[in-house]
Amino acid sequence: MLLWTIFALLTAAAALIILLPLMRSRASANMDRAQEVAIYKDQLQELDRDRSRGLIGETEAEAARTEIARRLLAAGTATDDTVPARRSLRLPAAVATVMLVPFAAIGLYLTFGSPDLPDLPLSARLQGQPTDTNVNDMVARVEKHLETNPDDAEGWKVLVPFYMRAGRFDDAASALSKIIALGKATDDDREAYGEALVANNDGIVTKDAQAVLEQVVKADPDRPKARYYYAEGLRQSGDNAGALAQFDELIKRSPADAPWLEVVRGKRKDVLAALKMPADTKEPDTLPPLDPPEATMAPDGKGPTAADMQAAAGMSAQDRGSMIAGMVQQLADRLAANPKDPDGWVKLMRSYMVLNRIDDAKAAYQKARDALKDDAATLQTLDAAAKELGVN
Amino acid sequence: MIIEIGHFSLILALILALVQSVVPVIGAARRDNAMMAVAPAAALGQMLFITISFGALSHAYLTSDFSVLNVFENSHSLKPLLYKFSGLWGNHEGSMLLWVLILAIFGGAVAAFGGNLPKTLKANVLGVQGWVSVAFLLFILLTSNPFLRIADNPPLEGRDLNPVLQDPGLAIHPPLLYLGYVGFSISFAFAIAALLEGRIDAAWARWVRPWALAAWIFLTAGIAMGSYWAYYELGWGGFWFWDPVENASLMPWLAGTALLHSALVMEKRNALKIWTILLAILAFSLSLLGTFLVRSGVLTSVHAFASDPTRGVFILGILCVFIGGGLSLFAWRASTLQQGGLFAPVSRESALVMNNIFLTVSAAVILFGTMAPLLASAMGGAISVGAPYFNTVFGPLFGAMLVIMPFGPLLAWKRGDLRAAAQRLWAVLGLAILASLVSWWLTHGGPVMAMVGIGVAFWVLIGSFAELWTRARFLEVGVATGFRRLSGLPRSVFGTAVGHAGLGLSLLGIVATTSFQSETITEMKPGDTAKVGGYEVTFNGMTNQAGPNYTEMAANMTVRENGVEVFDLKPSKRMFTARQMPTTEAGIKTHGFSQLYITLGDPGQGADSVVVRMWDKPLVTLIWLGALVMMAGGMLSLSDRRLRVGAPKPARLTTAAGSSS
Repeated sequence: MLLWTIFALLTAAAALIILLPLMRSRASANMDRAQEVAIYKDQLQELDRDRSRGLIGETEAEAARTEIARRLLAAGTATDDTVPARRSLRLPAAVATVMLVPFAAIGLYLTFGSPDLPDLPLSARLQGQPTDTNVNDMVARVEKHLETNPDDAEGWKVLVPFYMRAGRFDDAASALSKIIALGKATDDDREAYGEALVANNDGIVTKDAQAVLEQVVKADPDRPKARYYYAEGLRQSGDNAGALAQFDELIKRSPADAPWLEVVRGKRKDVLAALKMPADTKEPDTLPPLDPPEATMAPDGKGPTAADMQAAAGMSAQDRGSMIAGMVQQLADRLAANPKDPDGWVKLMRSYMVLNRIDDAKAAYQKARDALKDDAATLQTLDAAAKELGVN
Repeated sequence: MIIEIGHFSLILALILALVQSVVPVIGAARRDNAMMAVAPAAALGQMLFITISFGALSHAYLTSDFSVLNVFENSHSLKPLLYKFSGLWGNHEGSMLLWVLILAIFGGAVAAFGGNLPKTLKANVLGVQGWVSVAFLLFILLTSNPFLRIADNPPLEGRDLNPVLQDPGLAIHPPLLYLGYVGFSISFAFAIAALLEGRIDAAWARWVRPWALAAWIFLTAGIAMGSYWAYYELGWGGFWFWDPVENASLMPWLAGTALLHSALVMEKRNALKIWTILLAILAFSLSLLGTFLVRSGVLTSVHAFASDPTRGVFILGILCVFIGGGLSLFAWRASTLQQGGLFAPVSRESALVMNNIFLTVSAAVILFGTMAPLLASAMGGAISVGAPYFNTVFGPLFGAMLVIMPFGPLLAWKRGDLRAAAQRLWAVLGLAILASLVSWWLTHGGPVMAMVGIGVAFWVLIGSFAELWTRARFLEVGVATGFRRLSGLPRSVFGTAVGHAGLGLSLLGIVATTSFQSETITEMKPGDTAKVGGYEVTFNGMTNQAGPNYTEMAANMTVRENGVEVFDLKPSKRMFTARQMPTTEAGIKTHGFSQLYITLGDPGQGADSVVVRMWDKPLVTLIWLGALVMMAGGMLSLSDRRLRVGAPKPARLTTAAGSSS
């Protein structure tokens, strides 16, 4: 309401600005020439000054003087060229103004303006309580705080779970690397860092990730997630024996009813196959089942708590598997829409090989060859990459 | 709420401009006092409302209100305060708002100080100003509205301003340039008003010259500032690139300079009236063309913030209406104007006509060179017109004008004596040749063209003061009397001398820099030393540091002269986080009038090594100092009592004043 009151006042002011001179002035003008006469007189004086400084010759000055004097006379004797009383248009002009100003102003404003939107200065928005439970808004607030206080490790720790859940693995990884650089990282953070790096690389365990994971596994042997990725990293780099040892170690340290055992056993089978060992090679014994869940703390205080277990279960191997599969599918979809992307194809083949989906990898290779068949050089690189990955 | 009040005020300003462009013009035609009286009221009202509007947008920028689309797109909460404010016009929409604000201020000034103008002239002038206002306010509201909002959950951070623009230069260069461009709209309005009335009052010339002069001073400052900004920020070490947007500002400057000189003839001798009117139309037309080239997006440059075809078409429409309309009106009505006084072929009037011819031909040549590639590409072809064209065509034209320049002030009005003027300039010629020989000796036999250039620069520089020298007659009457004689001269005589000398200074800087600069481009690793000019530059290594919204890699350079450490330089490269855009910050050290200029290029082959570009630029600062001197000349001239708008005073005051000048 206040806004519209102010608008009304401004509109009234604008209308008055036009109406006042229309109403007040005398309608008919008498065109006085005094102004012109004054200027010509001044010009004559100026001419004399120029003459005295020698800026103009005497005869020329005389000629100019005559010229100006002639104009001066003409101006002085000119009859006022007042137009004989015509009907003044001031009244129509005034009426038009009164009509035009408010209607045009409001009309235009309603077309372009946003009368319902308040001002939103940033400082007020940051100080005020969050108006809704918008997670993105919360994250942005913390991010904003961290832009000016990048050394606040606790702030970064708040962000990590949001990033992981939103699939912003690169942001999660950079947040975690900052926590590590600040020296405030726990083993939890390092484990999460390794996971974020792996997720960010479409399931591929890079060298950086492997180094972090190894560190975590050594510091705390009872970290199933870290050990799983560590083993997977060994497998991907071709160290199948090492991977088998790690998978066995993981099984040995897991309760019999741990949700990740199924995935681990699947991986273990792949490793055995790669080592040409029988698929039923005996696996080590697991820990006793953790059921019933009331036992919140392992008796010796060292094992994973129920809370830990639940957190791990929250990101169960199945979820993890489906998440990776989802990302690979996204890549496949993207390539289907835009197949002229040799790097993308190589990435997709590698992902399939890592996931052990050999047939899919072969199909992808075929599709890539079709899509890129016009470009011999690219085709050659593609073939080389396929060979290296063992697709054919 | 403040933002919406700003938006509403802008709309009210448009409506006042509409009234201002219709009612007073009808009133002037019907000699209706009441209707004419609307003009100043509407102009002042328009200024008030646009000021409110500008203030509201400034408020949104300063408080980082990202619910305003324009603020979100061009600001960032971490930007230093100055750039939050200047960022307002560092984008298309905001800069157009600044444009109309300046237009409204000029209109308000005419309304406020124009009490001594004949009523019909004042009404018509403000009416024409109203047309220009309407066109640009409509353009803003329909295609470039800075008050559009983001309704749903506006972002908490903006996209930041283009890093190249995050510089104090942004706070100064565009407003000055716009003051120049828009200033010519006043002379344009006067010209159109004169054509509408079919007569030119004596008051006309009195008004046009100071306005043209003020606009010219601002434009000179704007161009010089832009050139210096490009010089230190872009890292190429060049001061003028014949870039279309630079030409776009140079053309109105040339036409405006011509206007200034022809208005002088008109004011003093009542001659060249029609020509002056044509120049007034041309100067503003070229300003509009400049606005079109820069704002429409037909050019790709740091000035073209966003290209949107509807905007281009709209500005093209404005351009056609004002240039086409102005010139048609001129063709139709010019014959009704009275011809002015006569003058002999050799006279100061003729000298000023020569100046006008050279300046307008120069402007035409640049117009051709700027438009040809655009027209060719519009028709599907491709021509590239670059520096060689401009240098070979513009250079000799402007050079010829500079050679005859010292003669002008020495010739008398109506009929001059060329031989007497030439005799007075013999000594100047001798000094110029001497200067040229001295520089030849100093540079151990430099190129001939450079010597000629330096000779011309000194010819202009010294020749500018020939008039003062002859007026003082030091040799005949002694020093004391000479100075007394000088102090009796009007300020505009000093203005002429100083303004012309400024041009000489700029020329000297340009010739010295282009002919004698030394350049070294080399890859350096920490500990390396390279030579440039008379200096040895040692690269000590890199330091990383962080600014408010960027991170910076600065190279520590120690500069030695003959083995003695003289100063340190820290050229750097900045990375702006929000836009992930790099900028180079040159390390510049001024010694005397010269500068040592170092920028960092890409990382080199080896670890820690970097490509370094170094220039020693002799007398380079004179290029811009010359422009400052030109402006000082303009201001001296503007402060001349006779030019003060409508202040005809009794003669006894003139002789009393003077010692101050």
